Amino acid sequence: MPSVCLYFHVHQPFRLNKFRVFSKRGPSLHATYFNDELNRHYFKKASRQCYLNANNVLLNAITESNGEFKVSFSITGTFVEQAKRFAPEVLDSFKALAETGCVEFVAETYSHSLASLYKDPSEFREQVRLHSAMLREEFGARPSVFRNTEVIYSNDIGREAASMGFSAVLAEGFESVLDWRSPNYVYRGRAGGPKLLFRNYKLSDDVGYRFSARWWSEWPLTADKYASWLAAADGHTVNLFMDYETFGEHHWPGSGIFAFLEHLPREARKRNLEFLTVGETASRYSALDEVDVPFALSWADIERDTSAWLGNKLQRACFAELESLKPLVDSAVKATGETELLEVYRMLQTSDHLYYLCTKSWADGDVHKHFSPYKEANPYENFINYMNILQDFKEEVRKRVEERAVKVGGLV
Amino acid sequence: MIGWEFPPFMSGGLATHCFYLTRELAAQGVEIDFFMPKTKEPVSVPWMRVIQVDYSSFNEFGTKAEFREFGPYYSFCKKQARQGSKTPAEKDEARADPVGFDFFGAVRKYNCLCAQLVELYNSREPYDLIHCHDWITFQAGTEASRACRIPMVVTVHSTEYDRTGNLWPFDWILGIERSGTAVADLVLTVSNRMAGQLEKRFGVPKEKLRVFYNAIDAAPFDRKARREEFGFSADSKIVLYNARLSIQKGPEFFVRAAAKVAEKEPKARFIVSGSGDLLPRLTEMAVELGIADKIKFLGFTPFEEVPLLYAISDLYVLPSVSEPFGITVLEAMASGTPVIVSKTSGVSEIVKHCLTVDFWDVDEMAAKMIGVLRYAVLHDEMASNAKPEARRFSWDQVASETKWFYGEALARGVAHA
Repeated sequence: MPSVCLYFHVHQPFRLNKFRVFSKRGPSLHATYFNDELNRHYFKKASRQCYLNANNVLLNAITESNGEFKVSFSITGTFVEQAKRFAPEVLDSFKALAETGCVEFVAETYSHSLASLYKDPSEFREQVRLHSAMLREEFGARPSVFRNTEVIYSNDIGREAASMGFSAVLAEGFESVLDWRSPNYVYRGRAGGPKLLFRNYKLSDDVGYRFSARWWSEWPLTADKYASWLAAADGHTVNLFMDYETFGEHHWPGSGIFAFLEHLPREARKRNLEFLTVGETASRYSALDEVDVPFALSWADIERDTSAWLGNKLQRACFAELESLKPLVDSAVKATGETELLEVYRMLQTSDHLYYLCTKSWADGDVHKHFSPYKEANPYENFINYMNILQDFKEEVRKRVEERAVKVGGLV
Repeated sequence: MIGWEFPPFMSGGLATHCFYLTRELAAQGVEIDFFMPKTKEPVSVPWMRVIQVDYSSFNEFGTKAEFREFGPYYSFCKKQARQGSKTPAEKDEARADPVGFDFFGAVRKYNCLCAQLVELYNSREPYDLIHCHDWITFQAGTEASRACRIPMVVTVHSTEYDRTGNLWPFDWILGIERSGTAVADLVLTVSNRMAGQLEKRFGVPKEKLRVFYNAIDAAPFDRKARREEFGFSADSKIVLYNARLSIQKGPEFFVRAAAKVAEKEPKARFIVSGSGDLLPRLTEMAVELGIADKIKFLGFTPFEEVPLLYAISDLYVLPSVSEPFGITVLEAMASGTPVIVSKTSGVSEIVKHCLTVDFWDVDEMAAKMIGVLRYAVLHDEMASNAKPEARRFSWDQVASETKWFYGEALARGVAHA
C-alpha cells in the first residue's frame, strides 16, 4: 500500500491598480501600482471561506491522530505579506500548524514569479533565498524540498534547485514526460538532478477540480470512497498536490469539501494508509529511474506547459520587460539604497499578472476568466494596465538613478 | 419583403442587411419580391424581383446624394430647434416638416402605396409571408398582411429610442414601432440587448421575440492601402470613426477622446468618416480642442471605399450611445483592425477580441486608444485574434436562421387563423 503525500499551495498575488497614462502617482510606488483595497477584499474573503476553516480542520486532524496525519505547504512571500497587512490571525493559524511538527514547508520563489525562466539565474536564486529566509523567520522552517511557481519544472530548473541544496523537487506527473511510468514512485532528474515527486493528477484533480462537479459519474465524492481509491493505488506514494484554495474557494463550503477534509484522515488511517510529508517521501523511497524533462512542464491547463503565462505576444512582451528590468533595478538599488524598488519589482513579477493576459480559449469563458479579480477580465485591457505600470516603473527607476547621480555629482 | 433602402442607396446597416439577407435567402430557395421606394436609378439584383414604389415626390429629390436625406434618420438638430418652438401651430409645423420637406408625409404615402402594391401582386401570385424592416415599413406590412391574410415578420434594427440617444423620441414613430411589433407574428432583432428593450419599452412578449446577430461578407475586407494615398505620413497612427454623425453614434465622445490622445501621442491622427447633422458642431469642437490639423472629416464614405479606411487605420472606435448591433465592428475586425466599442452595443455580446468602454467615459476611451497605439504587440495580438473571430459571422447563417423563423411564423399564423 502506498503512503500518501498531501501538499497544498497557498498564494495570493498583489493585484494591480487601474493605472492609465493619465494616472497620477500615489503616496508610494506600492500604493500607485497595487490595489490594496481589492487585495484586502480577496484576502479577507479567502480567509473566511478557506484558510481559517481549513487550518482548523487540519489542526484537529493532527491532534486527533497523535501526529500521524501530516501535510506539506508552500506559502508564497506575497501571501505572508498580505496576511500581515490584512489578517494576522491567518498567519497565526499557520504558525500554530507549524508548531505541531507535522507540517513541512516547501521552498519556492518569494513572489510566485517566473524568474526560473530568465536567462540570468541570479534573480531566481535571490527570490528562492528570500523565500527560505521568510520561512525560517515566520515558521522556523528549513525547507529541503523545492517547488517552482505553478510546478514549472525542467532539467535546467532541477539542476539549479539541486545546486541550491534542495534534495527534491515537485513536478507534474504528466504522460508526456513519464511515458509508461507511474507517478506513484520517486524518480530522479537527468544527470545528477534532484529527486522528483510527481503529482498524481488524476487523484489530485478528483478533489481539486471534480469534487463538486455534478456531471462527474463519481459525484458525490466521499472520504470513504476516496480513501479506498488511495489504498488501492499502485506504487510507493500517492502525491496529492493542489491549491489550498480548493477548500472553500474553488469548492464552496456548501459542497461538503470541509467534511471531506475532516473525514479523509480518519478514513485513510482506518485503511492503514500512512501520511508522509514531501521531504519524508523523498528520503524514504529511492529513485527508480531518471526522467528527462527538456522543456518546461507545469501543472496548468491541458497543455501542461508555460502557455498559460507565456502563450501570446502580450504575455511574452511583458515577460521580456520584467526580465530586462533586473539589471536596471539592481543598479538603482545599489546606487540609491532604496529597497522599495526591489520590493515593487518582485511584486510585479508575480505570475498571476501574466496569467490575466491569457487569450488562449479565453473567448470560451474558461478557468482563466474564472480566476481573474478584475471586473471585465479582458486580457487586452489587463495588458494595457500591466504594461502601463511596467513602463511607469521603468521610468521611475531610471529617474531615481539619475537623481542620485546628480546628487553625487553635486557633492563631488 | 418590404424595405426602405438598398445598396447603393444607403445610409446604414439596414441596406447592408437587406442586401445580404435577400441574396442568401434566395440561395437557400426562398423566393422574394423586394418592395422599396423608387430611386433615381433603378435597383436591380439577379436573385430577386425589386419592386420600386413610384412615389412622385420622391422623384423630385431622388438623386443619389439627396436620397440619403430620406433615410430613416431625420435631422436631429433641426428637430431640436423646432421643438423649442413656442406656439402649437409652430409645433405642428415642426412635426410635419422636420427636415425641411414633408418627411412624415412621404413615409405615410410610401406605406399606403406599398401596401396596395403588395395586395395587387398577392392577388396575381399569392405570398406566404411578409417581412418588414424597421418602423418605416411597419404600416405597409401591417396593412398588407391584414388584407392578404398572411403572417408578418418584422425585424427591428433599431428603435426610436436608440436613434435619438433617448432624447426627444418622436411619439408618432414610437407609436408605429409599438403597434407594428404588437401586430407582428414574430419580432426579430439583432441582439439580446435589443430584445430586452423591446420587451421593456414596447411590451413585446418574450415568446414572440427572436434574436439573430448580423454578419459580414468578409471578402472585401482583405484590401491593402497606403496611408500616403489618404494624405497621412507613413509613420502616423490612425484612429478611425466610421458611422453617422448623429447623437446615437456618439461622435462627440470620439472627438473629445481624440484631443486627449493627441496630447500624449504626437503621431496620432484621426479620421471621421460619415455624414450627419452633428458635423458643424464636431468641426467646431475640433478647432476648440486644438486638433483641427490632426483630424480629417471625410463625409460619407461609399460602401466600396470603406475597406480602404480600415486598411490604413491602426484602430477603429465606435462610441455609440445606443448601438443595436454595430456591423462596422465586425468589418473592422475582419480587416484586422483592432476595435474599441461601447458597452451599450449588440455586437459586444458576441465578440471577445476587442476592447469595450462606456461611451461617456472619455478618459478611459482615450487611455485605451493610447494603449493600442503605443503598444505594437497589443495591436498585433488583437488584430490576429479579431480577424478569424469576426469572419465566423456569415450572412449565410443569418439567412438560415431567418428562414427557420419564417417557418415558425407560418406555423403561428396558421394557429391564429
